[in-house]
Amino acid sequence: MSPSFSALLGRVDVSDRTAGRLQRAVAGGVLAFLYLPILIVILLSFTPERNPSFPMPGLSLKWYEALVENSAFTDAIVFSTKLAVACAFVSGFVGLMAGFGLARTAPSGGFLDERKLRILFSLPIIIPFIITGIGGLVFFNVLGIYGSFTSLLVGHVMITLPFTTLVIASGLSGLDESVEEAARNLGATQLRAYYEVTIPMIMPSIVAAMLFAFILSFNNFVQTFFWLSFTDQTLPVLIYGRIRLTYDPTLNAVGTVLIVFSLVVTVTAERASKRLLT
Amino acid sequence: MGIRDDTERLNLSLDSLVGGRSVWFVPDVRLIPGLVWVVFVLGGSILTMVLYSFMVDPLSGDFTITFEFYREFFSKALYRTVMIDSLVIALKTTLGTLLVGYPLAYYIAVHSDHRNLLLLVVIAPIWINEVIRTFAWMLILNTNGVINYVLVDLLGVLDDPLRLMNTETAVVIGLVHPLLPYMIVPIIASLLRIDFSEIEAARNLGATKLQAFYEVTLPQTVSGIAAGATFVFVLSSGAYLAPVLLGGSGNNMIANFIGLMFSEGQNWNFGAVLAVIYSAVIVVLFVAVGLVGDLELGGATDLEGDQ
Amino acid sequence: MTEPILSVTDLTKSYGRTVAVDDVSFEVENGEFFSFLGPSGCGKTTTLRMIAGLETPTSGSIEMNGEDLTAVPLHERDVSMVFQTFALFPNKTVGENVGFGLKMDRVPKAERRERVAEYLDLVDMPGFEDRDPTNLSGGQQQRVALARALITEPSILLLDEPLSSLDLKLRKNMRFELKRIQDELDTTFIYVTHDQDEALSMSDRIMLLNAGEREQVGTPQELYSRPASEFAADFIGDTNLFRGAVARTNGSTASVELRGLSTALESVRNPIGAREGDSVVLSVRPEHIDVSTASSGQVVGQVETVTFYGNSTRLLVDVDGERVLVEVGGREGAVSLERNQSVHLQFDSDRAALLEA
Repeated sequence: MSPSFSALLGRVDVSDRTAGRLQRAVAGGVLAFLYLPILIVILLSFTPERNPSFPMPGLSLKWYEALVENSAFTDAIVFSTKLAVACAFVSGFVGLMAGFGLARTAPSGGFLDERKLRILFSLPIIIPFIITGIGGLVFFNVLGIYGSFTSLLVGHVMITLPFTTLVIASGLSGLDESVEEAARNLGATQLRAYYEVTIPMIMPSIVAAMLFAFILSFNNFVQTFFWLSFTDQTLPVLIYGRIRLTYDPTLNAVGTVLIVFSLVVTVTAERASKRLLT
Repeated sequence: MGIRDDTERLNLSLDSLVGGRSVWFVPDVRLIPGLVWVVFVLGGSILTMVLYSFMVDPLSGDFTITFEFYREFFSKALYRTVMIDSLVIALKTTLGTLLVGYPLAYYIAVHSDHRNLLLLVVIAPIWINEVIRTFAWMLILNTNGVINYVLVDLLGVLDDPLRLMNTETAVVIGLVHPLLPYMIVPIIASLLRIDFSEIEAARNLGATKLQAFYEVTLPQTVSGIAAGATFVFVLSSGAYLAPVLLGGSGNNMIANFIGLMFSEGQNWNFGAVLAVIYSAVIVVLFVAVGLVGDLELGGATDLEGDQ
Repeated sequence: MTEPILSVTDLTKSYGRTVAVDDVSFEVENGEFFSFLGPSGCGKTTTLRMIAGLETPTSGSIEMNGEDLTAVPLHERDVSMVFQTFALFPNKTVGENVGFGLKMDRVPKAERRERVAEYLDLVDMPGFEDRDPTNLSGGQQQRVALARALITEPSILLLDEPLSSLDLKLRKNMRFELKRIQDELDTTFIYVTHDQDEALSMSDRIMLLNAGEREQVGTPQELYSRPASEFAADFIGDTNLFRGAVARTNGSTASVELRGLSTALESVRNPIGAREGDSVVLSVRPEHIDVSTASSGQVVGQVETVTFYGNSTRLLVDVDGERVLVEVGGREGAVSLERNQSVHLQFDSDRAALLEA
């Protein structure tokens, strides 16, 4: 089978130029597939009409106005922001500690070596979301905190911790350990050495980790959907409810805001984490 | 004097805490808060869920052990069908991401002068809200959506609009789109490891471009494909949003069934059974692919670090 | 002799089953330039880090001025360290780097500023206070690291291969600089290096380490001319190691028969107390072998290679299948020797070193 198939391929040959064009065309097509849906949401957010129709009869900001005036959306934005900010700080701090631990643990050997710890810390994102979602639902009920802000925070920290830990650990792994030792040698206590030297040196990683945690928390749907009580709504859960109900053009506006916001935050985070390397 | 002593002591104990001494079997104290989250919260979640799969109502103190719920699962064909259907959709999604993703991965790894920028462009969408992305596909696939507008109104190829929404195809498309980066990134990584003088050598020996690709390049990217396929398969098999919003009532996947049991159905025991069995399938898959060891930094975190 | 500033006894450090430092003892005198010399992995850096407090000894004691140093937390030890990578704080200016130790000691700002200027002067970098250390050359970073370590006026300065990341020419200049600064301040320096030239040219005394164990402690001259082991003879300078046996002993000297060369060296100094019949190794430096074309000498051999080094010429001479390395001073006309020429070799028994086999 294989040699004959290969021989078949041998009959087909194209010039370098044609091959190049073909590859560019396919690559362009796939990129279009990736971004077209996003662009359509953005485009439709500016239509003056209630129902989507093409070509668009004109441009309007009325759905953005509708968004600002809709207290359900603004309340959800405020709630999601609170949660995501709290999550960024808690996950950032816990991840900072864990990142240090990870970076300073022997790579292999021992009951818990770095390799095993990395797998352990990656588990919350390797395990399917539905499992952590309903597992958390049951567990928070057992603890008696189901539906509270605390339970959401605990849950969001769990699902963002792999990111904060590993981003900070990778920032630390590029660090010359003797810089911290030099500070200690010159009379700084361990805490002082962190404050004076180590933390400032990995600040870009910490900022990146917190931004990632923020955006992951802000955008999370599946787990949050199961963890939320009826009193509060995060923005993604609210949007989901609205989508199931009926078509609402305000969704395009809120979607556009979310898309732009997410991209700005993550590209910033990306650049922050890279600044460390250059 | 006393105060100074106390602050010194406090300083020392804080120092030993932040200074990374090992405690019991934990190699560094600073790992403890993170481990609490992973072991207590994640472990606790999974443990209580497992308990519910064979105990009637452990929350209220009823620890009676019964395998009734498991028996129910195996006695009704419906649940097996849902499980198998979910895995089939996951398989189709995996093939879809491979077919769509490989050419772009190849272009980025081999031909692009702006590799890092394109990589960022490919990865960036994973940070966009998945509800919005699924909503975008509704706008495209609807009876009066973008595709039908192009085919019926703009080009006039069709007289009647296609029924795309609420089909399995819609679910697969809605899954291929967000999962594409998870396939592309490992393939790019494996392509970058190839020494391209090998391909020049093959070409030099008379192979056509396609032959050189088939004989030299493709076999060397199998590890990347396997890693990408595992991620996409696992993530898509557990999909929740796309089946609900794009598949309609007829295309529920396993996650939707599990969710149903925990919300409207209010049958936690049976939901737990579904979750345990689904998890078991995923674990078996991981072990079978033999990637457990290599997955630690692949996938999602790879998308992080390697951008 | 005065009280040593540092006295290390039976120091051992093991990581699991690997023993990095094995039962090492030595003393360092006040004001001395003391070097740890040895190949990589010999335990020299680990020993230095234990003195700094960056590693905890598995067993043994470190005493400074008669006080147990292991009980003192590292940030309170009166020792400063210069790191191989310099380890400057990239988030601080040169001035802040140099003044860091004073800041930790709560020295007032004005005084700090003065002292920083003074120490930047000392390392020949006046006016660099506000510069970003990451933009300095390797040599300049080195000087900043030195000033930063010295400003707290430590009793002992520890230097961990401080010159290894500099290029060759700069390295040679910095040797003189380090010696000058040490003379000026009269601080005790403990210097770790794998480079024998560095150790020989700067040190008052050297401790040679191998595989975590102490091989020999002595002045550079002692180490060179009176190596205590085969390793010491081989590691420092070039030498010929001949295997042989003691034929006779006579008081403090011995007569040694060399197995491969079928000749004997009479009245070789015998500090190891070898007895008649003992197997021994004889180390003879290349410059302690005379070569001549005339028919006088202990053994005859053929010249295999002639290598010209400018101030000297080295010959590899084949004597009955054994290769002997010979060095001839530049003015002695050895350049006229050619390949395959027959030469006579005469060994200088007085300067040969008798070692245990």
